[in-house]
Amino acid sequence: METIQKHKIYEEQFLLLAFISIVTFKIVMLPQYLVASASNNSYMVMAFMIAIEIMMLTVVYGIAKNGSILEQDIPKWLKAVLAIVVFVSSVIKCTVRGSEGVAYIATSLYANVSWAFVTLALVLACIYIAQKGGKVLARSAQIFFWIVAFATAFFLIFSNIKLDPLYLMPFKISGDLAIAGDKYLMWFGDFTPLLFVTVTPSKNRGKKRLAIWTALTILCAFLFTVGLMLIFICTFGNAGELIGNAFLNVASLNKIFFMIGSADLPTVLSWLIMYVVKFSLLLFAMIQCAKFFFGDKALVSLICGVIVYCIIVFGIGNLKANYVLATSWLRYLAFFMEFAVTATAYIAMRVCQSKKQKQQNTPSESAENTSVNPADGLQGEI
Amino acid sequence: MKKPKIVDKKWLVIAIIIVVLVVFSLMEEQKNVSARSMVLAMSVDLKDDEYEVGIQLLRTDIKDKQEFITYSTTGANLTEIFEKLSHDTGGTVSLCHTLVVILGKDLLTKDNDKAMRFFIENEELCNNTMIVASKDSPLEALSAKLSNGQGGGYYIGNMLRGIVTDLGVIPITIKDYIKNRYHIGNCVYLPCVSVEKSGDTTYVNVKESLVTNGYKYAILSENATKGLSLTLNKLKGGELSYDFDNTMGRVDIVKSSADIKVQSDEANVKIKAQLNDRAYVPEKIDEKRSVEELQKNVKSYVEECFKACQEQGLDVFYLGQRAYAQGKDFYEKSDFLDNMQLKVVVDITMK
Repeated sequence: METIQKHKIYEEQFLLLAFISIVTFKIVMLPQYLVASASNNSYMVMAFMIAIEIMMLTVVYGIAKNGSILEQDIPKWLKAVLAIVVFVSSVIKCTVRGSEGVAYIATSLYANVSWAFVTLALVLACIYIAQKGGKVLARSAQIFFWIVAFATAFFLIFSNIKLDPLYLMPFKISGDLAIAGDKYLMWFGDFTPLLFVTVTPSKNRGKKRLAIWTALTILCAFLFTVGLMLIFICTFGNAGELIGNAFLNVASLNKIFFMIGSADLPTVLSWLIMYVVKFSLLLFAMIQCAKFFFGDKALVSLICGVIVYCIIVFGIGNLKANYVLATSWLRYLAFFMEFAVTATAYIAMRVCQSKKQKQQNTPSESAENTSVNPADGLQGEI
Repeated sequence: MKKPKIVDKKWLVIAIIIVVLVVFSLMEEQKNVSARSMVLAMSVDLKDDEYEVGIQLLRTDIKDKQEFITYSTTGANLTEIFEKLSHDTGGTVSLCHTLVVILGKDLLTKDNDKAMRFFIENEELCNNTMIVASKDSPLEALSAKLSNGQGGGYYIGNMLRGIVTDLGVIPITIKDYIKNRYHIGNCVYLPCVSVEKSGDTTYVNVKESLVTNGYKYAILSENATKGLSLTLNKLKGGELSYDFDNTMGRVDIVKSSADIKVQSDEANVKIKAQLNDRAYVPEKIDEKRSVEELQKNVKSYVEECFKACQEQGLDVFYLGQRAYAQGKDFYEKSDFLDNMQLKVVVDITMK
């Protein structure tokens, strides 16, 4: 019961976590890679994949509304299988995608700080948040959200983007889009961590309000990903294939730069906090799966952190290796696992729910029959 | 007995994180800001297949006096060059506050963009760092000592910010450079700096432009540069002039816009400008006549710009890119630009 409470989050918090889940890793290196593969029409790949992700997140919401998959009334062996699959998927996502953030901090934010120290700082902080549970994670996201909102407002006021819609032309649906979508699958489909929280309706809030928040979240997810891709293409054209850290390059506050010098801190900060939440969310999924087998101990979380740290520092170590790994066959595995787990968990939940309902109905029906005609029962006994 | 709050588990974890981070950050070799040489302006050129790089720094240790110092060195590799310069300056060279990079013609036409890619891919420069070409030696422009005590590079960097309105030259950032380089035709245009000396006084002049596709280049005159700025929709202010009866009239540009349409053998440029004649109007000239003169001048500026570039095979109006955007493929023909006829229509209204 205590565990359920620890991972209980409100609907708005779920939406916020879903938004961060969708956006965080798609606005750093992915725009550059997509432009290199599918040039000016690459925003279509982003739009298509985001639409799929949002659809899958509605399924995840349907599951999380009934509780965490590990707390639900599904066979224990199935829970174990799902836990193993999510653990593997989260390790892949956590290390491969996590390295992108480490690379950004180590090389762009600071002048070539060692990966080991950056990873250590991130893993320590994120493991701590993840260990605290879904509730703390959601609350942290809610508090941090204001920095993102502030940075966005700051960007709208002080950015001075010269967009050239000519770069978006000609509108062409070609095989390159499918190739790009296939090659960068690793960047899509991050929804399994949200299967471990329990979503509860917000206090004193009607369905209308939830609908508005949901619509806003979907709109913002598209604006921050597809919108950013459109701005990125309209700003850099095909030269985008040379421009890493898309969000920072697009959101540089030119007006301020011409007044007092470079001031990218709000943009950097807003992404960093989204990264911390996202990284913590992936670690949270790992920890929950590991705890399913080894019990609710802090040591389990620590070991998960050590595994992620070792893979990022000793296994990956630089952005090039990370790219090779992210575009290797591992992408199919991670993508398949994300979908398979969500679909399986949903089907299992529905089957178990209907079975339970049948079981509940059967004894009551027999009880009704007994009470209607007690003589039949007596006859039977005789 | 109640535990004191400081030993509460949460604080313990936070304390461990802080200790670990502080200890490790002390172990990491981090350069303090005071141990960095902040570059204000830089020059890069190719000399005998080697890079010649100059950097301009501001000495801040002299009280009530600004002294700009220029360091330069050569080498085959930019990383090595910056290491050498770090050694010479006594601090790690930091390019993140560089206002301007002055490029030599050889670098722009013979380097195949290796140096520029180095700066972009390594994110060495800020995205808004200006790029200019130098008519002569870029190191000379960088190290020029001006009468106001400023270094040439620093002066150019500051001047470039308001250059469109004053001179009709389009300022180019490193972002714009690489964006234009990826256009069909690979054409980039940059403000072109020249240094003039008159006695003891040194002048830095930025009225012309240099257009290059990485192999060939053309230098556009002041008028052709204005034609380029108007055609590419970049001139939103400044002045235009005209001659009438040996007197010169001047008008202010209130706003202007341009539209380019391209067909297989013809490009149509339509420039619409709103001007006002508050600057200077010669006597004995009516508005209609001055508009006619201005239309004629603007048309000739655009044509001069196009012709100078066409002769060198430079697609400065990005006609190939525009054809590609329309889904047409005639830009792929080798003689596409040679056979192109330019038609310019100028629509001027006086406010």
